[in-house]
Amino acid sequence: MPERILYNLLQVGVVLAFAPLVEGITSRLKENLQSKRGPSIFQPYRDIWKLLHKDEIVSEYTSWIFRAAPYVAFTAPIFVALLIPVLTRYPLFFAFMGDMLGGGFVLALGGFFATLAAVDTANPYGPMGASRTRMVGFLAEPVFIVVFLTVSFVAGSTIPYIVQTRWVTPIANFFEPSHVLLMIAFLMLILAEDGRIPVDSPSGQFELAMIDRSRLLEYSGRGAALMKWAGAMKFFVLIIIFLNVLVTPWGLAQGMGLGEVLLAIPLVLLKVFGFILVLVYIESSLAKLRLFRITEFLGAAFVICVVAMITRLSEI
Amino acid sequence: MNSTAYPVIFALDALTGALFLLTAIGVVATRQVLASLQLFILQSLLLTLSAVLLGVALGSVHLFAVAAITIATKTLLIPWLLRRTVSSEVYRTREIERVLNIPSSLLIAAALVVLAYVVANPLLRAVEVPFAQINLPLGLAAMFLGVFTVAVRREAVSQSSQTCRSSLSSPPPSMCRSLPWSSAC
Amino acid sequence: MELAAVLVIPALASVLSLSPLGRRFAAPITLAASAIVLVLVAGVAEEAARTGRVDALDEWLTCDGLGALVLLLVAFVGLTASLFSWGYIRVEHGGGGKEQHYYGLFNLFVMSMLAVPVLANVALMWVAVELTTLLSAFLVGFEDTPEALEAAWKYVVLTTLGAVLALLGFLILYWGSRVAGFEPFTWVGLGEAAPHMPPALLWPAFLLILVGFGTKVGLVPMHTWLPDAHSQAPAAICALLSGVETTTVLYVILRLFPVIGVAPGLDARPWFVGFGLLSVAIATLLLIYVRDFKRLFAFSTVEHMGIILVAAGLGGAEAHLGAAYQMTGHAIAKSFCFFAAGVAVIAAGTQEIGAVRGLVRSSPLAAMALVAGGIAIAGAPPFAIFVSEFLILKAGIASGHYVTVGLLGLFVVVAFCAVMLHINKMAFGTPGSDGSIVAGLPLPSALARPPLSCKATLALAAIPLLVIGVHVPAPLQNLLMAAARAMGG
Repeated sequence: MPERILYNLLQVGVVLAFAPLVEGITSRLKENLQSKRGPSIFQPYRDIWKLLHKDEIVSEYTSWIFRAAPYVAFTAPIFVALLIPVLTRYPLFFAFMGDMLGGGFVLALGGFFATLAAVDTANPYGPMGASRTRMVGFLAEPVFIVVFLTVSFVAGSTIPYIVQTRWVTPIANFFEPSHVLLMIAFLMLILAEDGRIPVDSPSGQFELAMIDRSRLLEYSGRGAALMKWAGAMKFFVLIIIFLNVLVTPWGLAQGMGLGEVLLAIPLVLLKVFGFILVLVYIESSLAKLRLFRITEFLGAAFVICVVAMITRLSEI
Repeated sequence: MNSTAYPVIFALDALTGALFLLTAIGVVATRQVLASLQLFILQSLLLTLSAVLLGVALGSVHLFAVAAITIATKTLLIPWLLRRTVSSEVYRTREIERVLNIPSSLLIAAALVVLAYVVANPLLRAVEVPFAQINLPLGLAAMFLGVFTVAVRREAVSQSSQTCRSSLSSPPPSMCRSLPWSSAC
Repeated sequence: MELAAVLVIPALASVLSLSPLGRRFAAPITLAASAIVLVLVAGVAEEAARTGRVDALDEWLTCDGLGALVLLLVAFVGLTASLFSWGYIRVEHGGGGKEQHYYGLFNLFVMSMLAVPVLANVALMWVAVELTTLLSAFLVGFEDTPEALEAAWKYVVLTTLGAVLALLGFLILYWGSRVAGFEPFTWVGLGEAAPHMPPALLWPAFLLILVGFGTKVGLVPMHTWLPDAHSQAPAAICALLSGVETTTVLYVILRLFPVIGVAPGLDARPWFVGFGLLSVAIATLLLIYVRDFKRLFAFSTVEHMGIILVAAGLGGAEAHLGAAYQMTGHAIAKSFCFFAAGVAVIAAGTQEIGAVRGLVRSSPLAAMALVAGGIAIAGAPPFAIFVSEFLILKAGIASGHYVTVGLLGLFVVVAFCAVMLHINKMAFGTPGSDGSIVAGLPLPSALARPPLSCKATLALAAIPLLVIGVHVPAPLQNLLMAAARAMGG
């Protein structure tokens, strides 16, 4: 029993500690793929450290939302990290506190506050980016819901640990048509939700074209550090959900020993690294879509997950 | 269903079927003539692979013949003919002119896949045949998507590749696969 | 043996037409081949009517009453069309390469149409139907105008998609017959297997084949390719397409009717009557507003296909006899109409109804042929279609389908009025003074006078047209009754 609480907190610690690393590795690999040297993989840590030690400037035309948003956005992925299988296959202490839909709502809460905060300022680029984020968000919602519902219907439960046991643990399920299609649909969803190419350019500085990065525009000092970290953690949490719940449970600890759980950390990170390789390849080979073509992109994701749902449910 | 009889082949066949359907949806969603032609070639390769897998599993020579014909006509002959008769400039620069915009087409495509499963369900319930569980609905879906895509294109070039797709191979092999043709006429 | 010869001779004629020998003799070769085929087919038909079935080549080829009727009609229209083409193609396209291509395709097209009622294996029969589409597509686009090419493209795409649906239906039928445990995939085998097939397989197969091949027959709402294809082709090809090709595909659908009939709990009749009435209704409405006289005859084809389907759906020996008689009358009258239209196109130089007035003054032959064909196809006495439609209506009333008969009668009358209105205006109207292109003036060039072979064709085709309505010779009567028996199952 105490181990479960310990492992749960260990999970949160892993998410907190390694999220900026994942972000750093992604940017470095992308540059490497384009034959450039790229920044150090620990650069996001240095950025967060620097920002935490700077002064914060807050516009006097903002309300409490602007000041609260970084904290809400920071804690949302932490809550979700309590619920999902990051290191272990068996449910931990807080596992039954919320299911996947609950986790999705909490993540959406963080994003919602960030959007509100962007509208809260009088900066013209803030609301523009916020409305675009909402457009991408509402088109992505059906995909989320259909994916979660399909997987839960098959598993008979909405708790991520149980879904993972019933959905991916039998290895024969890996090649099912619905499995492949759901993976592809969720991958397109991650690209959309996290603002990767082809939906948005994560390294672009041009405010008129920003979709997701615009929420960081007005923040400075501690707020900026928390928002950056929160963004990195949301990305990491989404990848973990994708890999551990939907793709394969490889690398997760089976037993209760501390050594096993600690061993799971590098194995899971290795899995994440493999995913980042695929992601970077996709990002380097596509171009950013024009704004209203994003609807087609997400429409295709929706169709794919509906097809996956039909394929799986008709076999029952 | 017989997934226990040939587990590996069943799994690979299911994977091929899923990718096949994915390319069919991709053709509905793509904008460029060249991309749709490439997706068509990819789809033909997947169809050939599926026919080969089923031929190995069911031990039927007819299916290997189907695979050979598919490779020869759909993957090699038809794209070559299309490239030759239509100038390469069309393929490089042309966007597909369509009657319906892409999100609506995608929604109708999703509805057609659902329809294919609904149509195939009573047929599958009536008879138990190995591999039909996966292949029959996917073949029907690909055929419906082909007919739909022909209906919403404005020009002959993109229509012709779709007609080939829907009429030449997709329903016959997927049904032939499901039937024990080995002792057929 | 004759059945095999019936298929081999047109193929041989096609090869000869494409060879260097065909450069000068393609047309006579085709005509000779068609005549030989007609003689052979007449023998086969007589034997089928007498004995019930003709088999050949170890039962790969078979022919019963209904098949023999279709075979006879195809052979006859093939003969008249080849005679008509001789002069028409020579005048319109000159001799040499293009003419050779025409005759090569023509012979193969006729062969594929002859193959449909004769091949015993249902899958091979589907292949033959597909071949008719593919071969006739090139013939439809023969004139090389943009309209002709568009018509050919629409034809190919729509009918191929329909054939794909029908293929799926046939494959499901094959699946069902294997499940029921019957081996031979022939119409006879299907008839034996149908009571044992699970209805969940038989019913979707029937619907798929009805819709899929209904596209090729021209049933509404899948008829949109038909007016274009049947009006843009050269006149002899139009005669073949409208007169017998749609009938051949309708034969396949009619063959399915007894197969469904023996299956317990399934009723195909409402579907036949529904599709048939819809086709007749829409065709009649379109006939009123038509602007091109070849399209007029094409819409009339849709209407008659609908009538035949309704007759088959009404059920009963008399209705089926009416349907068989209607098929015969339609093939003869429609081909005659298209020959008349071809002559009128030569005489007037245009296909528009509004531009042709007073044809009787400039080309009496074209006018007389058009009027005779129009009356025959619209269903006036003393022509065959009147008798067959009367039979069908009588059978409908006797079996109690008052609503169907009432609607059918109404549409037939409206169609009659529409057709006669347009034909009258063209043949007897006075040339307008509003400056439209009129055909009142005689054209001095050689193009205005129809070639000799066209006139000979009109004379030849007029003989059965005038005779069948009044007196049906005994062998033909036997054949029609055998065909009706085969339809009823």
